[in-house]
Amino acid sequence: MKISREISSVDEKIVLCQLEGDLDISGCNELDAELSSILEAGKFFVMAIMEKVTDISSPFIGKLIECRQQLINKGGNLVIVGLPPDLKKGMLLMGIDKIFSFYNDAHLAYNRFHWDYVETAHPLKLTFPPKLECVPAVRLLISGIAKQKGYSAKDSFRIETIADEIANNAIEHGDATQTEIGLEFYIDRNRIELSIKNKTHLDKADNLKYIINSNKRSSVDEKTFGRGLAMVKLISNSINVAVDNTGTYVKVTKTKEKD
Amino acid sequence: MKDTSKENNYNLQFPSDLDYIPAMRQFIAEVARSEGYSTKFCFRTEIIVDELCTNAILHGSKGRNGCVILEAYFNNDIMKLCVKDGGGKKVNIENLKRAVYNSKPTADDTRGRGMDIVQMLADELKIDLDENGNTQVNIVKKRNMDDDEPILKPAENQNEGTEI
Repeated sequence: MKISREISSVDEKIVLCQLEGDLDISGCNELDAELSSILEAGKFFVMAIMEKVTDISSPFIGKLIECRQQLINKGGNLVIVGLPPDLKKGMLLMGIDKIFSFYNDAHLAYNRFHWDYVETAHPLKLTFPPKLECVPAVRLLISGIAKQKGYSAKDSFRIETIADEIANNAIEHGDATQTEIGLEFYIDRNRIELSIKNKTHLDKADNLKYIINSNKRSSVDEKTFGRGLAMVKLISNSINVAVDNTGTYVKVTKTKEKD
Repeated sequence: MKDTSKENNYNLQFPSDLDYIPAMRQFIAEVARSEGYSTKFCFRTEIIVDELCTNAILHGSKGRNGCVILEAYFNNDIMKLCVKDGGGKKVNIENLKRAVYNSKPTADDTRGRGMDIVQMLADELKIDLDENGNTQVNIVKKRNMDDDEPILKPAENQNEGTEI
C-alpha cells in the first residue's frame, strides 16, 4: 500500500490523500499517522483518491470510517473519489454508501464540497422565445432544479408558481416586438433568486410598479387580472422591479423554509 | 398539432454539476413537446441531452466556476442542439472524436457507450471548437412524420345513442 497527500490546488481547505495498491490491515497505522498530520495542519476536509487501489479489506474500511468520524467531529468530512467500479460494487453491496459519499472524479467532489460548505450560489441563465407555450418547460426547469438541490416539495412548488407567474407576465405584458425573454436563476443551500428581463412599454412598467408597491390590483384590468403578482408577493420573501431603457427587470427572492 | 411555423431559439447556461442534468433533459423534452414534436422524439431528445451534458460535465468544464452551454433551435422540421463546454483542448477533442468515430466498447466495459447512442438517435453529429475555444457538439435531429401520434378519431357511430 502507498499513501501520499497534498493540499488541493483548487481549494486549500481540502487535502487530497492518494491511496494505491492493496489496502489491508497493515496499512491502518499508516492511515492513522496521515490523519494525525492532516488534523495537526488544521485541515478537516479530505478526498481519498482511490483510482489506483487494487483491493480493499474490511479492517481498512473500518479505519476509513473511524477517520471520517474524527473529521466530522471537527466539522469536516472524508469522501471517496475514483474508486474502481468492481471495488465500488462490493462496497455498495455492504451498504458503505450510507456512510461515505462516492464520486467518480475530483471535480464532482469539489462541486459537492462547495455546495455543502462554501455555500456559493450556482447561476443559471436562460433565454427563451416570448411564447406562452414555453412557460410550462421553464417552470418545470426551475422546480426540477430546486428539488434536485434539496428544496422541499412545498418550496419547489412555490418557486414553480413564482416562475410561472413572472414568466407569463413578461410574455403577456411585454412589448410585441420583443424577440426573447431573459431569465437568471441563482440557487444556494438557503436561497433562490429568480430574475426575468423583458422589453416593456414604460406605461406598463409604471403599472407593474404600482401593483407591487401598493398591494392593489391594476386599475386597467381590475376585474380579470392582477392577482398573480399579489400571490408572488405572498409566497416570496422579496420582489423588486427595475425599469430602464433596456427593459423591465423583475427580481424575486425565496428563502428555504425550515422542514 | 400546435402551430410551429416560427423558428425558436433557446439558450441555457448552467453550472458544471451532474445535479442539473435531470432538469435540463426534462426542459428540452418539454420544449420539444411544446414545439409540436412527438412523444418518441421528445424521449429520444431527452437521452441525447442527458448524454451530451454528462460528457460535457465529466470531461469538459472542470474548473470551480465551470459551466455548460446548451443551445436549442427548433423549426417545423428539425431540432438542432449544441452543447458547449470549457474543455476545449486538442486532446479532449481528439478523445471525443475517437469515442464517436473509432472506439467500440467491449462487452465488459462499463462506460463509453454514450456517444454511440447519441449517434444512433441523431441524424447528424459534429464535434469542433467554437470561436472562444470551447468544445462544441452539434446535433441535428429531423422530425420523423411516422413518429407523430395519430390523431384519434371517434370510432364510427361511437357518439350516437343506442337505438331503442
